[in-house]
Parts: sequence; structure tokens; C-alpha cells
Amino acid sequence: MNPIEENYANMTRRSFFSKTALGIGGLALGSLLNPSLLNAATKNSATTGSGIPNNTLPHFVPKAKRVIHLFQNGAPSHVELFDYKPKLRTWHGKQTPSELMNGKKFSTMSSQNNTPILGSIADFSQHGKNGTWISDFMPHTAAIADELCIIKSMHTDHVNHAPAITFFLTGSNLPGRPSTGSWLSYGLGKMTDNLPAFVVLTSLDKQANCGQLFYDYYWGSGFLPSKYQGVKFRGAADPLLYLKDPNGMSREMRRKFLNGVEELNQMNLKDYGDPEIQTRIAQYEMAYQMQVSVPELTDFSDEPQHVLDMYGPNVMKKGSFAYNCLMSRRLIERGTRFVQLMHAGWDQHTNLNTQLKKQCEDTDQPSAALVKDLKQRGLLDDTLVVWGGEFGRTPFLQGNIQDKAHWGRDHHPYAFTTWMAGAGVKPGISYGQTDEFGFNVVENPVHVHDFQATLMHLMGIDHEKFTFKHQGRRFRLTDVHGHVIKDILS
Amino acid sequence: MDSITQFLGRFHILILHLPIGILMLVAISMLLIKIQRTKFANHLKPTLPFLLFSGTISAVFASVLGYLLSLNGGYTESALDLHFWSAIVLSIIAALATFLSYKKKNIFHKFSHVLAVLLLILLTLTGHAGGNLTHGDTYLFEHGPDFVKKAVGMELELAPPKSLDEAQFYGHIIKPILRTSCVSCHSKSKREGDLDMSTYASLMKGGTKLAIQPNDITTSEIYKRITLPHDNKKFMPTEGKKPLSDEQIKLMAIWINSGAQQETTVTELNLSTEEHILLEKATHFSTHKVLISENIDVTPLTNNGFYVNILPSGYGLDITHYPKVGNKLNKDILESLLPFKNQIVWLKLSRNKIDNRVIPILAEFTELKKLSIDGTEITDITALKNLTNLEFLNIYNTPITNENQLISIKDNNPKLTHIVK
Ligand code: HEC
Repeated sequence: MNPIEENYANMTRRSFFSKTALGIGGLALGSLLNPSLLNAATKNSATTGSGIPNNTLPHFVPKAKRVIHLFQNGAPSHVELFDYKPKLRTWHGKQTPSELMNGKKFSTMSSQNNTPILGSIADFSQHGKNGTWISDFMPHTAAIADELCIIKSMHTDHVNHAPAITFFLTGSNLPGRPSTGSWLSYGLGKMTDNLPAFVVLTSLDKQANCGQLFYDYYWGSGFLPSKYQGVKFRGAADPLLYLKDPNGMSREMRRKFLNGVEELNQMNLKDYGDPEIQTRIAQYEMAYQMQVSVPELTDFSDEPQHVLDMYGPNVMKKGSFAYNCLMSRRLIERGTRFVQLMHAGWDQHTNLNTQLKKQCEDTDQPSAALVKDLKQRGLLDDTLVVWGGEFGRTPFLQGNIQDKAHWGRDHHPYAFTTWMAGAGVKPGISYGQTDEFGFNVVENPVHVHDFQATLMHLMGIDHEKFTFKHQGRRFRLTDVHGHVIKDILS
Repeated sequence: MDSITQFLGRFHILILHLPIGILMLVAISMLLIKIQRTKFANHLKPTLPFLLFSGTISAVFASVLGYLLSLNGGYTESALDLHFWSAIVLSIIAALATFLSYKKKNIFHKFSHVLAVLLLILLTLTGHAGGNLTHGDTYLFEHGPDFVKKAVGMELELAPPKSLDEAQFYGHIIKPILRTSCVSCHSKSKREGDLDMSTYASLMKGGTKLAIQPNDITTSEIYKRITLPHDNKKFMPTEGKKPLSDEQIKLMAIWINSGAQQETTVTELNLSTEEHILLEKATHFSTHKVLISENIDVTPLTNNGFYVNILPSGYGLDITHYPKVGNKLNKDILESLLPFKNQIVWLKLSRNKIDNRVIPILAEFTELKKLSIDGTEITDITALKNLTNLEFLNIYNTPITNENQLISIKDNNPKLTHIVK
């Protein structure tokens, strides 16, 4: 049965009266209460449509207008890549001091009784004006040391991948909260009609042996209307399915058809007022626009050879990290606000000696190329690039010290490294420090919520004021925590 | 027992409206009768004894409940006293009036206007004192017009300054700090250490000790308290409330050391560059001139395919035109920006198919701070030297090769520090 008819059929005399009475009372109450008190962002919620600006956000003049988040899924080993700890090599094989281990929680995948220190398998050297130590596994990133703001004192609350990733991207370890990109597109609106404000690109390590999944809620909109969720482009062949019109369907006919559908949807919206109907209308329209904009977006033939070369040999391979890096630059040039690029394969529990290097080879050059490319185009000025994973890796060994081929490191939430580059952050600095083992943060700790608060700040948003009321409570990305890291702002 | 008094005490808030309503009504009736002597007044007359009786009973009842409520503490003695005593006097006067209205009708009618006025005064006094207890003594007039605030001796709220230089150091910078961190315990009604920091005058009066000694932070009690080690018993704010930040403490020091005046502005203090930067960081006051009002209507621009971002605090408009298939930017569309030329501060036309014909238009946007024309077909930008506010210019991937053009623009625009080519 048609749900509308069903709705009418089910409406008895009693339910009609109770509904109308409640409804009218509710309406009256709603108009009595000042809506702006209920929700900081009401003014700019649903109507932001075509980038019509609002007057509540941003709270202050933004340094960054766009973000590219190169999320390194699986947790890169900070002690092999950015956090240079020579002491690990001198202590190689000796047990980790028990005062470091006591009271700590680990993933339980490694033994808690036998935790010998593992010397860094990578060599480090100094780069840039400030002599920043960076791993030889990442020569291209090392070459842009003067652009990077390296935070060595990140720490998180969660010790397993999915909760920690969800925590990093949505501010809660449990699925169901809006991701950072959703918050931003909800709060700031979209900058163009023909591409989504929030795009997700995913790639796997070459062997695809990491066993990590990309859950949709990593870019979900939670309780925000679902039109604010990230739109995931597929890694292979067509980035989006069913973009082409079927044979015999002309573009004019498609337009007429969509206009008709929209009228019907508008009627439904009037009856039910469900914001998801608005989402549906917006998505049909976006899809229509993307029939034209996406083929142009994904056609790399207008990129000069020297630019393609910067991104390395895999740049033309769909679904590779390099391809996605170039794609993210093209997206933000065309008006996308937030690109969340997710690359899996950093979870080296048993294959540090083989996999880490490969992983770096896949990601090092494209990440650095992206920063350089943005810079040469003048885009780094108002685009923020973020590189990092959900936590770090243990300074001690997972596995058998004799069995070098299967050396690994376990999950380590107590310290890890993330770098940022571009809009509003100081270039060429390191911030925060860990102890001699890279085990605990000892100076200027940066909690995940602090990081999120800082990112919001760069986008011109006060993270404490930007809320959404849901189930009787005002939610924010940073829950009730988070301090802006003022020291890294330029 | 405690919980019973607490339970009953809270009904005070409910019951108290009865005496207010009833006694107010009687008092007005009594005055009407006195003034009019009409038929209507005659109808009112017989109701007075009963109304007075009910009013008295409810007043006594409310007072008892109020007493129970006060037993649970949480109210400052001095503020409570006024409420307590005026309520008791009110009950007594009401009882007296009731007695007279039943037993000594003559005397009652002779003095009914005096009684009525007394009742009204006492009602207002009690009610107001009670309101202040629950809502704080600034609640009523907080949003009142300036003349009202002045009349009741409240400090006027300052309008936000147009720029940092015009900001008053006390009113715009120090007072907000005190208000967020200290006034919850140091107000007129809750004066811990006998110190009220809610106004300039009371702050300068100090508490048991001198709170502020102008030009000397070492003898200013406030400065001492906020710089103690955090675990010291005397450290302020107490009870684990969020301490002042390093920047806020420095601002306090700057203010005290410069004489702790009420109305000096930031410019008048002749601050060092370093102190100025500190101020900019610690306050949200803009150092820019205000170009737009918050209600600016930009629909003509969005309808023309521009993305418009209204930058906050009047900073200006941020405009982008993203090239689209089938939606070309041309001279006419660009001209639709001209009515906004004094508002647009950032303009991004990157990768649009535009050429030298648009340059005369662009040259009119004299407020521009950032301009991106990268990826366009523009070859001659000499006319852009008019844009003397320009800080950022992006001409990457354009056919502009003539270095002389750039040099002449740079010579004319000292603020232009960032050129991407
Ligand atoms: C949680 C309540 C509370 C807050 C908030 C608070 N104070 Fe106090 N303050 C007290 C109490 C209680 C006393 C009296 C005991 C004492 O002298 O330590 C006091 C006393 C003082 C005194 C001494 C007054 C005198 O002359 O004896 C000063 C000065 C002072 N506070 C300054 C501050 C400043 C500055 C702040 C804000 C940064 C602040 N206080 C915030 C509770 C508070």
C-alpha cells in the first residue's frame, strides 16, 4: 500500500484528535521558545543549499577554507617515521622499564610480560632549516620539512582501530556521531552546486593484506541530516556508478523528469516535513550536476606531465593513494570543502621489516607532492593538509626478537605523530615531545579533541559554540573537551 | 527532617505569588474606593475583609515556607535580611488591616489609603528583594536601556569597539575576564572576602584588603592571588575553577601597571608591539575596519553563480567563482560584483576563462586583500596597482611573463607580500 494512503487509513477519529491537539500545542510551544537558544546553528542549517551564506558561521575570519585529511588507517609507527629515538637502538632487546608499562592498556595482541624494546628499523636524518629529524623511509616528506608542522605529542583514548579511527574522525569511539567533514559542511555549507562539499577517497596497500575495513560511519553524518555525510568515490573504474544517462534519455528529458520528481517530493515534504526528503531532493539535483562535473573532474588529461611526475608512478592508477592525492587537489580546486582520503595498510604487527617500507613508498611521494602542488598554485595558503593515523605503535616489540622477518609493533595510544601543513599553521616546526622511548608524551600533549578543536578553529569555528541538539542534548565534535593549540597557529 | 524542610521550603516559590496577587488586588481596590466613591466602588467594599484575610493567611504561609527554604542556606545573609524582614512587616500590616476591616470599620475606611500604599510599597520591596535573591541583583535591569541602568547605578555595557585601538582596557578587556572567572563569587550579593568585582567602583574599593593598587602589581591583592601556585589555599579562583591563562594574567599586569584607569583606551597606553600582539591574541577584537553589516543581502551574487562567504565582524565578503561546464564567467557577470566593490576583500576567479577585458573591473575593487586569477588568460595586470590593500596575488599559470608589470605593482602596493606565480 502507498504509505500516504496507509497513513490516512490508519488515522482513526481518536488518533486524529490526539495528533492535532498535540501538534498544535507543540507548535505553540515551539514558537514560544526562542529557536536560536536551542541550537547554535539553526540559522544556517538546511537552507545553506547553494552556498547562500549565513550569519552565525564562521565565528571568526577563517585561516583555512578547505581541508584535505590524508588519514593513515592502521596507525603508522611514529618511532620509525617522525619521532627520532636513538635510545631505542641502544636498548634494543632489553625489557621495557616496568614503570612505563605499569597500568597501561594495550591491544592484548602482544605479550604483556615479554616486551623487549625494538630499535627503530629506519635511519633518521635532519632536514629543513630547523634540522628536523625525519625517517629515511620518507625522503619526499623530508624534503618538505620546512612546510610541515609536526605534532609529536598526539595521544588518544582508544587502543583498537575502529574505535580509535571513529574517535579521531567523529569525536566519539562509538559509531553514530557526525564526522568532522559533516560538521563542516553542515556548518559552513557548500561552495559549489556541482560537487559534494565532503568527498571520501579510499585506497589500500598494494598487497591489501592489512584486513582493515573502511566503515561508512567514518564519514557518516550521524544525527545531522544525511545530505551532510561524505560522498565516497569508488577506487576503481567509474568513481561513481550510474552517472551516464541510459540510451535514449536526453539531458533535457532527464531535467524534466527530475523537475517532476522534485515536485512530488516537495508535496511529500509538506505532508511529512521529514528532512530526509530534502536530502533526497538535494541528492537528485547533485547527481544531475555531477553527470557533467565528474567526467571533467576525473579527466586527468589536462594535467601537464611535470605535475603528474611529481605524484609518482602510480598517479594514473585508479584507486591508488597517488591518484587520490591528485584527485583531492582537483576536488578542492572545484569547490569541495573537505576531502577525507583514507589509506589502509599501516598495521604492522608482524611485518614491520617488509611492509613499512612499501607503505612509505606508496604514500611518501604523493603526500609530499600534494603539499608542493598546492603551494605552487597558491592553494596552500587557505587549504589545510593533515597527515596521520589513529594512534602510534609500541616502542617495544611484538613477536620474537630472533625472528627478524616477523618483527612488529602493537597499537600504542599514548603517543603518536601527526603533521599538518598549510593554512594557518606555523610551517617548519615540531610541537610537543615524548620521552626517550617515544612511549609517553612529556611536553605539550595534544589530545585528539585538542586536535579537532584546532582544526575547527582554523576553519573559523569556535568548537565550543558549534552544537547540534539531538535527543535533548547539545552535541559538539569535541564533546565537552578540547583546547585550541594556540602555539602552532601562525 | 532536613529533606522535609527542603521539600516544603521549595513550595515558597509557588505560594509566594498568592499574597502578591491578592494583596495587590486589595490594595488597588482600597485606593479605587477612596478615589471614586462610585457605585462600582460600593460593590468592591464588601469584598475587602475577606480578601485581606486571605492575603494575610497566604502571606504568613509564604513567610513560613520562605523561612524553611532559607534554612537550607545558599543565600547571602545581607541580601536575605531585607527580604526576610520586609516580608514579616508586610504580614503584620496585612494582619492589622484585616483586623481593622472586620472590627473597626470606621478607622479602616479612614486610613485605608495609607494602608494600601504601605502594602504596595512592602509588596514591591519584598518581591524585588526575593527576585534579587534568586536571579542576582542585576537580573532585572541587565537588558534595560542605558538611562534605566544609570538610574539604578549599574555600570553601562560598552558597545564592542570598532577596532582594538579604540577598546577600553577596563571595560572591553579586564571586565570580561573578571566576569567569567571571578564575579560568580565576588558580586554584590555574594561578596567572598568582602570583595565585589562586578563594577569598577566596587573593584577599586577592594575587600578586606586593597584589591587593586594602581601602578603596583606587587601590592595588588588580586594580582597576588592569581599568580600564587595553583595548589595554594589562597589561589584564585578557588574550588578548582579554571585558572586565568598566562595571557590573561599578563593583561591584568599591563592594566594595573598602567594606572588601572576605567576609561583609558588601548591606544592611550602606548603599548609595545609585543603587548599589542598579546592583546590581539587574547581578545576577539578586530584590528580591521568594518566593511559590511551583518544583514547584507548577497542574493544577487549567489544568483549569478558566485559562492559568497560573509566574513564575521564586518571583515568583508569572500567571493569565489568556480568554473562550471556551461556556466561561463564573463564581463557582465563580473560587473554584477561592482555594487559590492567596497565590501569584497577576497576574490577568487581561478581557472575561469577570463582575459584582459575584466582587468578594468577588477581594478575597482580597492578593498581587496586577496586576489586569485591563476589559470586565467589574463596577460596584463598593470592596472591592478590601484589595489593598494592587496596582500596576496595569485597569477600562477597565466600568460603573464612580463616581470616589469609585477615590479611596478609591488612598488605601488607595499602590503603585497605574497605573490604566487
Ligand atoms: C569559587 C568561588 C571564588 C571564585 C570563582 C573566586 N574567588 Fe576570590 N575569594 C573566594 C573566597 C571564598 C575568598 C575569601 C577567602 C580568602 O580570602 O581566600 C576570596 C577572596 C579573594 C580575595 C581577597 C579579598 C580580601 O580582600 O580579603 C581576592 C583578592 C580574590 N578573592 C580575588 C579573586 C579573583 C581575582 C578571582 C577571579 C580570577 C576570584 N577571586 C575568584 C572565592 C572565590
